[in-house]
Amino acid sequence: MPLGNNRFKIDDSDPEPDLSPMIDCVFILLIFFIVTATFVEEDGLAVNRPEDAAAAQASDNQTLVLVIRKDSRIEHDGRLVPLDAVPGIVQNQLQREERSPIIIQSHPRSRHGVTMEVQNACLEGGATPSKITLTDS
Amino acid sequence: MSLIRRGGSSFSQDDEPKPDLSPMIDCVFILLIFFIVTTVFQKPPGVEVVRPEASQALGLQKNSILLAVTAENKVFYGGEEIGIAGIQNVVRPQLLEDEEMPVIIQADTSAFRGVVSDVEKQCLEAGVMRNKITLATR
Repeated sequence: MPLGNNRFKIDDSDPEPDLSPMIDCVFILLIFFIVTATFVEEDGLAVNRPEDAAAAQASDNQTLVLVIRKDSRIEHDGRLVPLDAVPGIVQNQLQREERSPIIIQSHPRSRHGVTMEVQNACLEGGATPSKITLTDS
Repeated sequence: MSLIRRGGSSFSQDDEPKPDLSPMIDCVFILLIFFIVTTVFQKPPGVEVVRPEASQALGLQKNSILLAVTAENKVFYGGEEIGIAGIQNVVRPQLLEDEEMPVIIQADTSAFRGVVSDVEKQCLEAGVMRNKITLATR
């Protein structure tokens, strides 16, 4: 057994163990963790839900209410408005009353994307994120 | 003792061509531990959804619970369909570990708003903090 003899000889003369297999092993672990470290980058908008349904009712004309109907169309003040008009409406409202809250009232059967577009449009119009509330109609 | 050996090997011992590997091992170990510690095995929802576009979106927190709502209004978590009823069961255990754990809802553009709203409500019921729920966008 020349191999065995050789190994024993080395062990006797050199008290330091051979570290290369351990380094290989550690490198494999290292590479595994580098590869699996998924740095998930996710963008999104915050959700503000009212504390309770009653609190979300528009009590006065300081509150801007945008209704999303079942057919995913946007209604403001009883009239249909296109999405492009929403930032303008929000800006006007904020000029009149700087701290007015915004309620986006969506029909359960409307498309989720529309609510998000309206919320985005409100932010484009200069609304504070925490002032926008999402409710169901 | 090791210091003396190292100095000797680099300057005088020509018969041993092997460099001293210990500092490299230290270095690699530090890297390894760093990656072990920073790796979060975040369960992806396992379905691809068409997210709504938003120009005003903010970057969301990394270590979050990821829920997905597909265009067929199905709720997914970790590659399985859990349904609205299963949300509390998956969210609660994670909140025990970290009560401030945020939730990211990846909802499809054409999903019903009512379903997404139910998901939000279920998360709040399970005890997710009110300002920790977010909707993913593109």
